[in-house]
Amino acid sequence: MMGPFKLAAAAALLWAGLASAQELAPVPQARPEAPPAIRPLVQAAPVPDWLTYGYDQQRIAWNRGETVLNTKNVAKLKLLWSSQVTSAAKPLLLSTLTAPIVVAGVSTPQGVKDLVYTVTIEDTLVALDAATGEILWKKSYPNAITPLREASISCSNTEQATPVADKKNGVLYFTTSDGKLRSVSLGDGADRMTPHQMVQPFSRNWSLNLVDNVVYTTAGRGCGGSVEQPTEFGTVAAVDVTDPAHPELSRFYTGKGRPGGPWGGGGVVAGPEGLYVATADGPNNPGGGVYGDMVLAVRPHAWGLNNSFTPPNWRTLLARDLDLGSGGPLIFQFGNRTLLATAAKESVVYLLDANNLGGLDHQTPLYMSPRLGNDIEDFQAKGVWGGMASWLSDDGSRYLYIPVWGPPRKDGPKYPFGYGDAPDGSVMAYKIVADGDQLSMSPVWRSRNLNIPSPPVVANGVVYVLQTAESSYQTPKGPDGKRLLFDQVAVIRTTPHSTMSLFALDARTGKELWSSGKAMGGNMVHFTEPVVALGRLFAVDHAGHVWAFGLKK
Amino acid sequence: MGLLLTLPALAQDEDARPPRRSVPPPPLAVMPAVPDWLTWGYDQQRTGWNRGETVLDRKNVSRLKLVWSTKVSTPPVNTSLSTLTSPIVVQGVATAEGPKDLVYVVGIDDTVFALDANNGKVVWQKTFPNPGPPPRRPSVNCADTEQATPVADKTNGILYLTTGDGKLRGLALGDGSEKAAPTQMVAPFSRNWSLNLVGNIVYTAAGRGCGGDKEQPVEPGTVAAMDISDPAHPKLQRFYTGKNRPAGPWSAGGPVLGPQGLYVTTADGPNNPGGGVYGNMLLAVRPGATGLNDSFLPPNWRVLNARDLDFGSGGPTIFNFGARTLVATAAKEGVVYLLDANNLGGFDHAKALYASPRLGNDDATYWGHGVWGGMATYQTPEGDRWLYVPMWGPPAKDGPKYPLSYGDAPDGSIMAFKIEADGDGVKMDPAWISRDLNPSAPPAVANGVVYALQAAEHTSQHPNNPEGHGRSLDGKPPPTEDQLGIYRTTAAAPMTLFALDSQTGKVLWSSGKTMDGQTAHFTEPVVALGKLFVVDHNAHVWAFGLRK
Repeated sequence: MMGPFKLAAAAALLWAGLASAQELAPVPQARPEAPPAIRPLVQAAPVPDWLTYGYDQQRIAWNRGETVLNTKNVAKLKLLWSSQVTSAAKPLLLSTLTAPIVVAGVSTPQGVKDLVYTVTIEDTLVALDAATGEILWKKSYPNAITPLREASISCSNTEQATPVADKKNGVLYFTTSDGKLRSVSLGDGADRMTPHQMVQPFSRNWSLNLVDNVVYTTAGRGCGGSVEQPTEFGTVAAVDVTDPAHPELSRFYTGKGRPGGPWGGGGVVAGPEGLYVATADGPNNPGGGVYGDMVLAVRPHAWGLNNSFTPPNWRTLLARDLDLGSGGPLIFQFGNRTLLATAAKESVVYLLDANNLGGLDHQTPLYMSPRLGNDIEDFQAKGVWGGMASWLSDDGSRYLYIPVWGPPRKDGPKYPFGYGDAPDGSVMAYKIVADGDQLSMSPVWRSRNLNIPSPPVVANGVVYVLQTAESSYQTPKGPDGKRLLFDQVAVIRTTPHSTMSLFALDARTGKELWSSGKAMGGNMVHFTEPVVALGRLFAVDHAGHVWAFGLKK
Repeated sequence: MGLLLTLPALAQDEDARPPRRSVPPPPLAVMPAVPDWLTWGYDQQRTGWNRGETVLDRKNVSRLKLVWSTKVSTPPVNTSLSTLTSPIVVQGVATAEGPKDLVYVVGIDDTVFALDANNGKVVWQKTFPNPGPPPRRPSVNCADTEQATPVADKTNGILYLTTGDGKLRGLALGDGSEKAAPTQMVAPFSRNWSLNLVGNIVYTAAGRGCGGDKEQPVEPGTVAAMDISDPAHPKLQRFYTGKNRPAGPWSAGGPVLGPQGLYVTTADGPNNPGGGVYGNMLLAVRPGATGLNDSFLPPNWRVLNARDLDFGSGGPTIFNFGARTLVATAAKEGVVYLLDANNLGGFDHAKALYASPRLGNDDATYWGHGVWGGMATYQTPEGDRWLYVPMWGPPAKDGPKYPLSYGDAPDGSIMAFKIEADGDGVKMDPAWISRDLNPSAPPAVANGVVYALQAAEHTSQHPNNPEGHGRSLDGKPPPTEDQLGIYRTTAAAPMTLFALDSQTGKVLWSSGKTMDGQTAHFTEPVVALGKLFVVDHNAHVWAFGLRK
């Protein structure tokens, strides 16, 4: 019940309100949004290993811990070994093995070893001795589920996501084609967590990233499906593995069917506003939960959206099938800014403030390059189809290395260093330049012809790139000019279009320092990256080989 | 194999066009009618309509009498305007003393009470002390206490509730024993709203930025989803609607189930969907809180934001109307929006099927006027669809003319409308406006009777300088939060329940002065099992029924 004090207080307050009715203070501004906080990028300490796609959480593809290979000795690289870990390759399934993961000093039953990990299209995880190529152990996870759709080149119904190693805890995380996240001991493959559904069965999910006890992946293309969700939505998936016995899944959907899915072989990229992804074509409708042709900063744990960038010409990208997601972002520090760089089929490089993507209208980049390739705006076989790499030289210059499929733009930037025509593809090198508050990219060199270049990697002043030899035309025509059958296309796609070769290029000039020549001739590979770690260079191919090059003693 | 490859078979955007709907979406599936009241607003859609009530009707409601009142042990606190959560009523619960009809409330001291619905005796109670220090001193907006109405899973015999520590708990309906591992769902000291249970997922929404901890000092606007398929290991997913206080979901009913997921309306804040901040919107959040499915932005959202007219103050209700599923929502502005629940706001997210004229709050004040609680809806046996709008303050001077009215209503009223088809569209026809209600809680309806609570609370948020948001005036210190709480919970009128004819608004019964001197805040009356239940600030649970 109301006491006498309450009554008195209420009366006093009422009186005060009436008496002062003419003395109104100004109405405060209605809850303005706080300005974006500037958060410096937190990078992991350099390690000589290669624990995740693109080396680190930011997919910078620069092995900052490599101490063996350099511009002076890289010319002495020789084939150390090659090991065929599966013979299950099929023409229709472009990627037979995931990109290598390399971990130094793993305790195994056979002693301490440097190991290379890859997952095959048969859902077999393989651990190889990095020194000899000997298979130390392998473990299979057969998928008994019947896929909802027949396999196709775009949706192979097989596992293709590169795992991530948690070296501190001695664990490798990977997904299998049943859509489950699994973890095993680095040393012997013993199961370390309860397998947990992360994406749909037969998902086309991209590489895993590990950030603060949460494993992330992305899924696009609508390949995966189940009875509950026949066409997997564009997805950023997060599994909290703090309690390995009870992992917790959360998801953020970027679309409602196939369109608008995250793309980029690297999966999510960690930055100051969460996890960054670039998406494929699709309606651009943030108010409707469909985020086509955008860069998204998804909140940690995939608990919503933090920020986004939509290229001003997104309607053109959508109409011409120039998916903004085909390359994938990387993030790095530049002065007091944290930058996100991304490029895609259109061959335009965007530099964005990772703390404030696109500014107030989500459409204003810090810098937008001219078109660097793909003059004919083809949706296939031209432009950027894999991640870039970035390197900070000893003199403080920040380089960006861009893999471009097809010829450079005819009226494009002039490169101080060039190495002949590059009709099939090249790596283009730029320095990022600050001019007051403005940023720009200054062309430095363009590589020799590369048919078709993989995402490059860099270490100690050397850029490594793989000429993948893949036939990148998705809709090739037969000799009679007619369209081909799926089976015929599949054979063409996996028939080497040139000699699959690794190249070592001077990071400052693009000069060729070494190549693997014909060592891998007759092979090809799709959507992979070379890996430089522990003084060696690793690559995989479609036939199921793992290749290792190093300095022979 | 051997299919002909045709362009653009491999293009990424082959199905990038907006989805085409050749078949209209099916009507919303609603749960079977039960005589219980298992969740805020009766059902997952927050219709406020007990479709299973079979005892009380227009003919006998005038014989309602006080059956019992119980003052539970939770001590009221001035800054906690809501001492008890709204009643949850479950029929035939197996208890140690045999099957009983029970009423559940949660007190601000994190005590759950189960009372016998027939005599008001406490059958069991259980306390979950919150050990953490709150991030901020308590205020009337952020009381640092639990205020979310639980939800009952009658099939499995579990009551789900949150406590002041932000944890979701599951207790056996019969004896309060723990049935689920307590799991963090919202930030400690959150101002989270009522729970909703859909399948095996419990939802709540949190706004106002009240909750917080070391990792996240100000809880962002949140829709939280806890999958309790494995009660030993509940799993949490969240969808944030803002980045700190602004743009949080509001409305006491919490998330509302509809065809596109869970619908919430949000408070003032920047409107920036590309930046993950959804101020003054109606959102359809995907099932499991896995992102956004759709949204509606009122065309005048900038005005709402500038004048602190939070679009979330009322909250949505969802129901079928003809071949359509409609969302009705209203807020401080006093405008009712009817939206297609399958396509909120159309292509630009800004077009309503119908927007009413302003029904109240002529001065567009952010306090004490307009709609501050959920509406109720009722379909007569003849198929007429009614909407009951609780309005604080007087009706709009130039507003609709009501064929039936019952004197001036300067302090508040229930406004009743019939929803009608209007060509391809819909419209609302005014039917009646109730007597004065000072102010009006969200109504409930059953068997042709609308139940309205005159909550008796002072709705001016700042008795001293409300338009200045309580800023101090020259030479006068601003009131303390404690003084504000005293003011707000001092009865402005007799707290009274009314039974109104759902088709005419005529008063069929009132509780008179039975509850005089009490107040209630952000609660709802509950009609279930032939009784009418309500709570007040002084920790009473009141029950009215037909004495034998």
